Amino acid sequence: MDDATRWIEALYRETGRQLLTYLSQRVGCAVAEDLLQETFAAALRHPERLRASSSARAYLFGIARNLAATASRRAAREAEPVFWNLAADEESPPDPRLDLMRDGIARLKPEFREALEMRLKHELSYDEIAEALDVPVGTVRSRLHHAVNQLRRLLRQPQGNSISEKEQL
Amino acid sequence: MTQEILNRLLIDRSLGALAPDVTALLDGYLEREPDHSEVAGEIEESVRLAKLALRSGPAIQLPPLKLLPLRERPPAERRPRRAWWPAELAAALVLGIGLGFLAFRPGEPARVKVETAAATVPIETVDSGSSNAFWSVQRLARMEPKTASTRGPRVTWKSFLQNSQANN
Repeated sequence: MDDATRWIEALYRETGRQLLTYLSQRVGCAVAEDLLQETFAAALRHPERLRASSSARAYLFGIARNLAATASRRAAREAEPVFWNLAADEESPPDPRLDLMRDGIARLKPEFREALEMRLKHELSYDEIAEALDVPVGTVRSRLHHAVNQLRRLLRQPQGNSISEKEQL
Repeated sequence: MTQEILNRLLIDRSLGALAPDVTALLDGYLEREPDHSEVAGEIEESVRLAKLALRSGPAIQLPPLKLLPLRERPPAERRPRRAWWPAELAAALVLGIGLGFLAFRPGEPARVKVETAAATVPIETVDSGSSNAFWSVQRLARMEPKTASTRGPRVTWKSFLQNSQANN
């Protein structure tokens, strides 16, 4: 086993679960495992690119994102990814605002939602998100700010007066 | 500090992306300006709830990594290549039939035949003075459709046989 393979395996142990969660929410569990393997196989094909990237995790997220997008297009599921059927967690404390928040996140623009997910769920830094999404850091900051402002406006509304189903935040 | 700048700083802070020194300055500002505390609280709460909503879900088991080199993968994993020859064969057939139809349309004199006839007519039979003669202008005008050969200068060729007949 060469150094590159050992390194990729270490990265797999470190970031594999995050990437699998990310992929599962985008393409479903059945395809996610294959795409996870493909992500690391792609990284192993060009280890020099992985080494040259400022963040290996961000680079892997970028590959996973591209693979998920290709798989979604192939399955014609781009418009309604599996991700955003966020189920309530049985272990989380009961809070009626959480349902409202799940609904609000599901109706965010995809690019806002994706940046928010990468920051809050996978804990990528702004720079890592920028590398994974292949956009400037300023764009990442702007998307995150839009997302937070929209969720904040949603929480301000009275409980029984939530945004209509068709309206996208 | 404008409200817009303050909002940006508050959001960056709630997302954990503000440098510690800037965070300390921001906290100091909020202590001096308690009117903004409500906005700060709303943003913090929104991010906290979003984090909770996003982090919910069942735990996922990580499968073992299978890093098979591409050359060792079973053929079934490779995408099958589409056969190219049926489409190309069909295209060649259609093209051939089309060109053949255009070249040998029934009822129209083929250009090749006219030129061959012109080349094989004995030179003694040509009478340029008569209106119905083979080389007469009237006859050329009657020829339809006009082909490219009637528009430009015509090149004629005499065979050795014709030359020897003419000399005799």
